[in-house]
Amino acid sequence: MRHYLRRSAWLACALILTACGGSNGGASGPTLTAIAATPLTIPLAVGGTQALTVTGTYSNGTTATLGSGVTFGSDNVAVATVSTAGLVTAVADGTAHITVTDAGASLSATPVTVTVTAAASTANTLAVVVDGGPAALQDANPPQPDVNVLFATVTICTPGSTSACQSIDHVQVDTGSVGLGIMSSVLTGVAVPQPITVSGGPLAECIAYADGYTWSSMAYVDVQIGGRTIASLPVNIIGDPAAGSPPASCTSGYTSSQNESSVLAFGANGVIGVGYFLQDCGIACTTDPAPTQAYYACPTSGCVPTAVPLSQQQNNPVGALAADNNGIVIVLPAVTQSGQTSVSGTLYFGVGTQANNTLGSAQLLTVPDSGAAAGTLTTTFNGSTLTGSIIDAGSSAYFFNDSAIPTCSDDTSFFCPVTSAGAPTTLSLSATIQGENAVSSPQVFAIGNADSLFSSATILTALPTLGGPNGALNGIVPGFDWGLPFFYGNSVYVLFETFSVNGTTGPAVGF
Amino acid sequence: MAGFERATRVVVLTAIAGSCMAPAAHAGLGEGADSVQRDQTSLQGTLVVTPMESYDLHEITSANSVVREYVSHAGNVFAITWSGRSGPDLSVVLGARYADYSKAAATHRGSHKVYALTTGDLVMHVTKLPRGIVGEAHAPTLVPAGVTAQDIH
Repeated sequence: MRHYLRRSAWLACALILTACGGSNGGASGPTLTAIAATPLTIPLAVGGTQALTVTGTYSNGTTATLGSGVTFGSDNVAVATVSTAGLVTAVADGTAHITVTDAGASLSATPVTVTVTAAASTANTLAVVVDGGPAALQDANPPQPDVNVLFATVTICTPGSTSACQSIDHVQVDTGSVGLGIMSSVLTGVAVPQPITVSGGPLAECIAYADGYTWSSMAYVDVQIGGRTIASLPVNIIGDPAAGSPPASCTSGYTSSQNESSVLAFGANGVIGVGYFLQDCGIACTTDPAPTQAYYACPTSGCVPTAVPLSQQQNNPVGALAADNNGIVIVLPAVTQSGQTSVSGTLYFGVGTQANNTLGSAQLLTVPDSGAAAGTLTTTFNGSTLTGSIIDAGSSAYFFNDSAIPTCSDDTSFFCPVTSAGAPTTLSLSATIQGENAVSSPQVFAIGNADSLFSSATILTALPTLGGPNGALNGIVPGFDWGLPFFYGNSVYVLFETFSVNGTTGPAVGF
Repeated sequence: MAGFERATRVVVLTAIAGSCMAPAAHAGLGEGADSVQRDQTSLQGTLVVTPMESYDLHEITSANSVVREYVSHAGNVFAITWSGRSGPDLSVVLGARYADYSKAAATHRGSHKVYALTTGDLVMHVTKLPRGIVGEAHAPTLVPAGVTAQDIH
């Protein structure tokens, strides 16, 4: 506690009964020559308080903390008020100045500046939805609604600005990748963010998907998700014309139709990767020789693979939060087996950091953190041990190898199980998922007939029994991809690398 | 299967890692065994050939990936698998079957993470993992008799 007694001065008054504390003490004692208030600048959240200390300087060079006799005032009581004892209370967003005067000595202190910001948010939720996707997909002819794709809304701001912002809907939520990418074509409401440049030139990134690639410039943007703000997050600006044409080492082997750097080709206005890692590539991209199909420096002479420090790689947006940054939980309701037109759920920031993201009865299964096997688990299915398995909200179905289930005649990407009589049917199957830490979890799941699911009169975008083949040779692609259907009716935790919860250190997945 | 590992001879051919070129000179699916070793100097990595019961396994390890090519005793590359940070140039490794691939790719729908394709004499699967990509392709008509799916790994 601070006190505002003018101790030294009162002592002087008691001894010398003259005009003590007045404007001029004359020759009877030291006079007050200056007053100063501290702290001079006060940042406060709404509802916060800060006591001021006022110090007087006397003609003999001594100083003393001043109390009575000092008056305080606020030039903007809507923002901050101040009590007669000098206690500042923050009322609302804005700036106020606190005046401090000593009436007796006719002295004023340099005003104190109070900056009030909204109360620090403890909200840790981001609304997520499964629906048909961006308007551009519905407006296409014929319409191309997404199926089993999880979306969130993300706000992008020009770095340093809280007003030059744009809300981007239908950004795909992905636990199988890391980092935020926004389609250049939808960034119409904010000035082009701040490009990232490395020693070799402007930084760009090629991301190889199973069915194509994206080509992006790298830039810093300020991001708002679920009421939280992240300053200067390095992100992909996907399909940015400023990035120029992708180099041959990014596109080699792909057809032109496999450039997915657009809303229609990708099926979303962007992607928010909240997977296991804090950067998308990590240490492997920080040293030469730099991998191809990753980061490129793009001087005017052309793009060449480049090493990139971790701080300039795509960083995990949740990992970049100031708090609740050790992982995520995705909670989606159960979905009717025949499918639904949409599903709404919640993505929580943090694992075990607040009452709403505790592990509960979920088990944590750890995954490798480097190499091609990074982020993979082992699934036991039909007597086969399938390494290279993933839990991936960014996959639209259960993808696994089962030669007993026929694929659809018109689309071999999906299963179409039928009865012995040839009628569409739904299979009930079981498997066990095991982590590197030997923690295992039995699972039961259903696979329906994709042709039947897709032929519904109403457009169903959430199909909990959608499945398809993956890895017929049981060779190097033996994995089981537990896609978004796995998340329906489930709480799925992702614990980021380096963080520990309940004695388990990430990267780990929990359910 | 262990029974197939008749590894009486392992040939290690170290590539001359010089240029900054990507390892583009792989054998093509359906092409001859000589295609594996052609242009070897341009490979950034190491080629290991392991004779097996019904085929020879050619494994090319480079900075970014491991590519395995399965060559039948009839002299044909009948299967290729890859694993690593990035995938190989499909227009090279799929050989003449690349035309079937590119035609099918134009109409593909589904997930960005898994690509399963059966077209003509080409069966192919690609999966994007969180920090890597794995894939396989084989030509069913070229797989030697007696070689089962479990042999390819």
